[in-house]
Order: sequence, then structure tokens, then C-alpha cells
Amino acid sequence: MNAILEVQRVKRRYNGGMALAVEHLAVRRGETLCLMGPNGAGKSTLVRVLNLVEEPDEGRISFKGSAVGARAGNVRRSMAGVFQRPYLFRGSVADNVAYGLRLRRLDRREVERRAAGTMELLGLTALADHDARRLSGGEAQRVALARAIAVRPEVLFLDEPAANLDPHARVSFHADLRRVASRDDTTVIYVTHSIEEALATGDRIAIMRGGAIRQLGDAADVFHHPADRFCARFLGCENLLPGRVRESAAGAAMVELDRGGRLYTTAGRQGRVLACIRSEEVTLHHPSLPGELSRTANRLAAVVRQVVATGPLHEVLLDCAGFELKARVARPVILDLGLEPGQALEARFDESAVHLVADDEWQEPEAPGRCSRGVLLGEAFAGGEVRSRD
Amino acid sequence: MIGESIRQAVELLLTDGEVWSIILRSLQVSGLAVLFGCLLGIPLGVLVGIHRFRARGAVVAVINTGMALPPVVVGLFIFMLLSRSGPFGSLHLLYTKQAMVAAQLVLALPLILGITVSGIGAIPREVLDQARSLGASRWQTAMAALGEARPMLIVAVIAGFGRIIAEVGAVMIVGGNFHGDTQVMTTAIMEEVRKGNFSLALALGVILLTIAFSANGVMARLEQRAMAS
Repeated sequence: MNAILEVQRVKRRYNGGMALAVEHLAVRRGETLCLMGPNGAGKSTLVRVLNLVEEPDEGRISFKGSAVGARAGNVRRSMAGVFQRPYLFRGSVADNVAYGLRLRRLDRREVERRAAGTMELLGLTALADHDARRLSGGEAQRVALARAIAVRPEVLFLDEPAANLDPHARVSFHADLRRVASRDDTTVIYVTHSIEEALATGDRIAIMRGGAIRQLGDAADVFHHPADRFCARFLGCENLLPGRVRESAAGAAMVELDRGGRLYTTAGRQGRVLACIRSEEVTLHHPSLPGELSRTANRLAAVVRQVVATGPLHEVLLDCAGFELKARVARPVILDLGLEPGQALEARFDESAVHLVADDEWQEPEAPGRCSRGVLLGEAFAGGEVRSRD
Repeated sequence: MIGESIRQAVELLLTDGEVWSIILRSLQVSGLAVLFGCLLGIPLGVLVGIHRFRARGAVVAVINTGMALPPVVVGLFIFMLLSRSGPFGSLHLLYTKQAMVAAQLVLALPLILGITVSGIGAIPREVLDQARSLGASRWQTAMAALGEARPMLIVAVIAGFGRIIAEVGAVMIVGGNFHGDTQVMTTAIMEEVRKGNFSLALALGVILLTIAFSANGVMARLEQRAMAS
């Protein structure tokens, strides 16, 4: 693997508490790696450590295969960062864009040429003489990006750069970023809370919690196959149904849900599981007639409990006789089915839409011979069983 | 009486060469003390302002205490150091302008240092991190901090100069108020008051006020420009 930046057993403590504890992370040359996680997960600390702005208490950082150590100052010259707030320095836009170039003691003409070129690339030429501290949020963040890319960094760190931007400025910022990152084949490490941003910009996603990396992988793979309950919840998977795998064969498994019903999945796992189904994978239909053919194995009889407009999609809360299932559907579906609370319908989702993770919060029932509440509920709502393909 | 004093002040400025030499001496002594104060205080202030070390709180407390040093006590301290029996007696600096500059430096330094520390400390840490993330070395980060704290540095210079141009205790003790040699405006005012020459004392006072006001005006303009840039 061609790693440009690598950390091993890196730890950083603040006030006695562990802010960062990453066993290993290798950033590939030219990739965009998105760091995600809740507040306090250690994303910004990891960025500061990788950017060599902050020294770790323990561990080793390598740049292009050799330990950074005492040459941190030189290595830092190959990097640049943009933070959530742009933090522009006193002076004009042009002064700010040229800042990193001046630090590198480039020839004055070269500084002016490269600063002008970068400002032209990002459409800042008209603002060159403006006071950098009197810009709008979007303009200021564009100047911060220009200041960072003017030095042609090999690694660009972006710590939630679009978090304070309005939707229009955010779209524009991402377009700028894609343009400059592809031009220079820059390695980008991007901290974001937005799954959409991560999927749109990231080659890989790392999900962090408590200073450690919980999951790292290709963006689409992480999105569709979260490693555990935390990752699934963080990635916006709203349907997490506890159960146990009863039958398992190559490429297929049947999960018996605690609250009644069965699900079929292509995921392979044994024992206690959480079945993760993204709400947008659930489709809604009029109840199917006996003998009606359907390619979808998972078909649940459901009753609409609530329909809420949540932006472009509507959130439909379903009672599947024992457990809740959430679906997100477009307005035409609502109109077509005439959805309203109390309506009976059928929820369907593909076997490939059911991802299984270990149920790490499961505890065996304390008293021998007693069933868990979930199993009892499952029995009580036996009528809600999924219609199987057989 | 004030109108008469102003008239006399203008007359003295136009006719009396000795008054001009006193004014220039005052500016020279206080100017040099502020200059040395800046050369020492600003780099030290940046150092204390940027770094978070264990004894930082104690250091800042000492600096803040130094801001309120009584001029006569400072004068006495420098006098003891420079007197013939003192550790620096062999340098024969007592009752010289150098001694006066030293005394005023001790008075100006804590102010310049303290305000610089506050100014640098008020810069969001992320600004300095931003400079470092763009490749700034320690020295370049310190320069970035200085650039960001420019208005506060001007305030530090104004405060330092204002404190020492108007003080009398320290320069009187270590300078001796010798005519044509170590007499400055404040000591000259004291002497004229002792002699009962109130008009001349008031005239010198008006000139001193004008100088202080002008210096502050120039610095305030510089500060405004620094804030705007």
C-alpha cells in the first residue's frame, strides 16, 4: 500500500482523559479520507496530530515511510489545513492567499504569480484587495481554501470546513474542493458530520468514537455495512432490530426477530444479531394478494402509525405487529398510496438491504426458564410474521 | 492664570533654548526607555503569551505586580545599585541620563510586557494553529501572533510612554535634576514650584500635557490603522 501518512499506537491525553488512541491508520496517497464521529470522538485531535500541529503523548507518525520525529517542521511544509472557522489573518485577501507561500520564502514574483493563479482558480481575483476580515462566511472559507492550496500541499486537512456555510456556499465549496484536489492529486483528510458530504467526497470513511477508530473502509462499504450498533446508528440506520440467526447457508440467512417475525438476508453471521435496515431501503405497497409473485423475500404486513414530512422525503412510521419500522419515501408514493395513519399496507425490502451486526448490548435472561420480554412480545404478535418466499 | 501660563509656555517655546533642551532630554530619556522596553518586553511577552508552561500563572502575577511599582521605590532601588557602594558603582552611572533611562525602563517594562502578554493571550489559539498548519515555524508563528496583536502592542507602547514621561520620583533620585544635564520636564516643574515660580511650572506642565496628548494622538491613529488592516 502506498501510504503517505501513517500513525501507529498514537495517544493523546487532555486533562488526564484519553482524547486519542489510534492503533493504526495509513492514509493512502491521493485519496480523500473522511473522518466522522460525534463531538468529542477525537477527529480534530487526530487531524491536529497528523497535521503535526500537536504532538502526541505516545506513538509514531510516518510521512512517506519514514518517521517524522525532529523533521516535523519540514514535513509540515508539505501540508496545509483549513478549519471550521476560516481564521483569516489581518490584511487583504491577496495577503492571506500568499501567506503560506511567503512562509516558504519563495521569490516575490513567484509568490505573486502563484497567489494570483490560485485566486483566479477559486474566483477570488475581484476580491484580491478586499479586507480579509470583512468577507462573508462563504467568501472567507474560499479564501482559507485558497490560502491552503496555494502552497500545493501534498496533504490537505479540512476540519469541518463547510459546517458554518449556507447550503449554496457549501455546494460551491465542495465544487472548488473537487476541482483543486483533482488538479494537484492532493491527499485530503476531511472531517465532517455529514454522511452526504462523506459519500460525495470521500474515497474512504473512518468512524471514530472515544478517540479510537471504530470502522475504516471504502465509503460505500462503510455506509452499507456498518461494523457495529454505534456505526449503524451514526450512519443514520434507523431500523435496528434485535434477533438471532436461525438458519444460515452460503450467501443467505434467516433471522428470527425478538419481537416476532423473520427476516431474510444475504449477510452472513451467527448468533445474536442486530438487523440493520436503512429506512430508504423500505418500499411501501398495497397489501399483496395471495399467490402474488414478488422478487422481494422480506414482505411485512404493517399499519401506518404516522407520516411526517421531513424535507424532500416523508418519514413513515409503521407498526409491524410487534416492532416499529421506519420508511422514507418520496411524495409521489404518499400520494399514490394515499397514506394516512391506520392504513394497512405491506413494507418490502430486499435481502441485500438487511445488514447484520453483532448485538453487543444483548444480555442473557437472568432467571433460568424465563423468556426475555422481546420473545414474549414476539409470541404475542405472531400475526406480524414476515411472509416468506417459500 | 491658565491663559497666562499658556501664553508664557508659547513665549518660552519661542524664545528659551533651555526649555527646548529640557523637552528634548525628556523625550530622549523616556523614548529610549520605551524603545528598550519594547525590545525586551515584546519578545518576552510573545514568549509568555504563546507558551503554556507550569509557572505561567506565577510569571503573569509578577508582571502584573510590576505594573504598579511606585516610581520612588524603583528610583531608590536603582540608586542603591548604582551608588558608589553598590554592585554597579564602578560604572559611575549615578546622576547620568543612562541611570534615568534604566529607572524608567524598569517602570515601563512590566506595562509593555503585561499588555503584550494579554494581547497575545487574547488571540484565539486556532489562529496560531492555523499558521502552524500552513507550515509556519516557531519563529514564524510568533511573528504571526505579533501581527495579529498589533493594536495591543501599540497600546503597550502608549501606556509605557505615558507612565514614564510623567513620572518624577525615579528620575529625580537617580538623575539628580542637574541643569543642562539630567533635568527633565517633571523635575524642572518640581524645582520651579519649590522656587515659587508657579507660572513657569504651569507653563512646563502645559507643554508636558501637550506632548503626552500628542504622543497619545499619534499612537491612537496608529492603533486605528492597525485595527483597520
